[in-house]
Amino acid sequence: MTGIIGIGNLLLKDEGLGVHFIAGLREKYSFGPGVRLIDGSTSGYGLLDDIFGLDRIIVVDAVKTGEEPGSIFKFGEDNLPVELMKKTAHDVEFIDVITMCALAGHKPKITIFAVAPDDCHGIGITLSPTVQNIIPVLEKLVLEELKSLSLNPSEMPLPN
Amino acid sequence: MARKIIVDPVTRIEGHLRIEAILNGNEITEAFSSSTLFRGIEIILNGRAPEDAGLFAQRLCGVCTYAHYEASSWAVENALGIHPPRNARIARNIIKGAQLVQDHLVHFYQLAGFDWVDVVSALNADPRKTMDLAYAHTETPYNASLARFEEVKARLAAFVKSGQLGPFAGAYWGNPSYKLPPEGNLLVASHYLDNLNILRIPAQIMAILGSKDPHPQTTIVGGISSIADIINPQRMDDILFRIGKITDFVNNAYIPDLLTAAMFYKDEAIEGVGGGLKNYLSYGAFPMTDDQSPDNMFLPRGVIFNRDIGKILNLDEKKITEFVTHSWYKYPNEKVGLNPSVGITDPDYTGLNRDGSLQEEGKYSWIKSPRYENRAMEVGPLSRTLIAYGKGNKEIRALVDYVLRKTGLPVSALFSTLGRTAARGIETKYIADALEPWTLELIKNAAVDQSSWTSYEMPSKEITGIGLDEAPRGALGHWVRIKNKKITHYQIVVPTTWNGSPRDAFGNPGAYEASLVGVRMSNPSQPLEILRTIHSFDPCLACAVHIIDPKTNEIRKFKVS
Repeated sequence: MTGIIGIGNLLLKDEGLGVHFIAGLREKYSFGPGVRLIDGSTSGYGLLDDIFGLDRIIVVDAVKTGEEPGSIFKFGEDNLPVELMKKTAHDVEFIDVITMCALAGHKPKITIFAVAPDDCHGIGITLSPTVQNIIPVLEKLVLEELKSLSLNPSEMPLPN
Repeated sequence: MARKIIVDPVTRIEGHLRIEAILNGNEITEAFSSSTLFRGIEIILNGRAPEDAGLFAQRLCGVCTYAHYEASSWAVENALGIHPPRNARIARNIIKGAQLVQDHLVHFYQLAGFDWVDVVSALNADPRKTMDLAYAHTETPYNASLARFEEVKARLAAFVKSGQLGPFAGAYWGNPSYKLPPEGNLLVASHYLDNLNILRIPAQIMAILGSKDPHPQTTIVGGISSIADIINPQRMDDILFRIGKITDFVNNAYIPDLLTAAMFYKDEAIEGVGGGLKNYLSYGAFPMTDDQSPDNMFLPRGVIFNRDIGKILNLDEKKITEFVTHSWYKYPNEKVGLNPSVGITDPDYTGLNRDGSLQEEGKYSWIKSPRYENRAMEVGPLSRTLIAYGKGNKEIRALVDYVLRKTGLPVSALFSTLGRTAARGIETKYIADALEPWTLELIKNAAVDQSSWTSYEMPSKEITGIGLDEAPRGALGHWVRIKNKKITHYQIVVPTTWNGSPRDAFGNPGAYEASLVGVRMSNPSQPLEILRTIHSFDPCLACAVHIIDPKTNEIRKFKVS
């Protein structure tokens, strides 16, 4: 079972990218039984049950990098940004939870798509235009990832 | 000679916290707590329909998921003057109870575990002696066998060796403040691993009644929408089955581990290390009667001043005021606190000292200072346990007395870091043991009564409501004003605001700040004792965006677009 997990705080603009992304996927595509979409919100250990049930996870999250807003970075389980993410402001890291799973004997394959935000200091439930604009690119990257696993979603029929 | 220690960020908590401690020799004489818990996120609720308040408010935090949702629903129901029907009341209690148990279990093992457990010492443990210790406080120890303890040792060794330390990184193995023998360390570490599987279960219970986790969404203003699950015997049986697994772990791993810790860390409990404030407050939670009266809550409401457990005072919400004297906000008159119903959130960042340290005489935190009758209060499991004890709650009394008897500790030992940690465990067992009777009561009631929602008409005139609830970390309050069927004013005071607050207009420190006074450090360059004390409150601060240090250019090689 493959899970696409979008994490972030919906109330803090671009910080909520992951949540917006999952909502968008739900509207546009129908995934077969091999794929689960998970709105991870800002839950850390609360996602353990989901992660234990998955043999592969694709994570989408906003990560401040000092790079150009809208940039997308990709990490795999061999190069998880553990060292790079030392100075996090949110300590219940998804990375920590993954490490916990490994300690408990569960090691899913992991792909992380990290997006550099533009605005995550404001309060709001919408994305900045910069980040909104890269959603199609991000979508394409995620779908390519799924395709490489022979998991192809079908597009939802457009409403009449 | 005084020196200053800065711990920033405090690790193994939710969010970003900075502690500055002044030391005289090795003893802390003063402490300052600063955080980026930005108040004001509630403005997202202005202009929204009150029926949706919970859905937005719960996004504040995915960790104490459901806590905000319920408090928000209570605030709006309070404004409307309605109560949910019995099925909804009980179902909400079950969801909330499962979440509290999960939250406390995560805290003791994954967050606070390494404050008490030296993992490297565990690698030297004798599995046979560990078996003996496993039987010390229970006749049916959880997942205890020689093979299991060998396996845990091997796993820990591999992890420590791999260097990919993750949550084990930045720890202080070998620090003299660790007091457990190797076997105690191995025993608790093995439960640390077991807990990772246990944690899945409360989440599943919440998903059954709440349709998903995180952020269950079946609670609605007036009731609950998961009635189809409530009347389904299979679903309710799924819940009962899971409750059994949780109570097994709580009774045969968690409580025994607490007792083990209490035996070896006894001295600091007796000394009252980390006790801090002498005032405790709880709004009460888990209504047991359909009128949701605070007089009949499973965790009772109350106030204690000066550690006088014999005199539990009634709570008067009007006595709650927030100060910003030492917080990065502006008030018209900063000598006066404001009740949240008339709260103002006007940011006023005045910066740090030139050396980057906090301006202790001025403003130094994004956390406001809630006070009760102008006194600093502690909130959380210790407050709730003391208030319940003082009110004569039979089960809490029995549990507290059991722990004190088994460890030989006096009641005064509760006023300490260890006491606070034990209270969390006591409360976990108290709630976990109640989940089954609540579920059975729900099944029985739903067989004859399938109402799940109290109807209402949202009026156009202005109405105000307050939801005073208890999140796992302590008192949680939502204040709402509604006019023309839209929210016009909303204020939220979370438990960490109470506990993590800076000084108020009178110079009274908050709970974290007070708890560190008198704490002695074995090695001031290893702030283990600071972490242990602060962790005992289970801090939870603003979720903020994850950051990769831009100074390392390493990130660029991973760019794909």
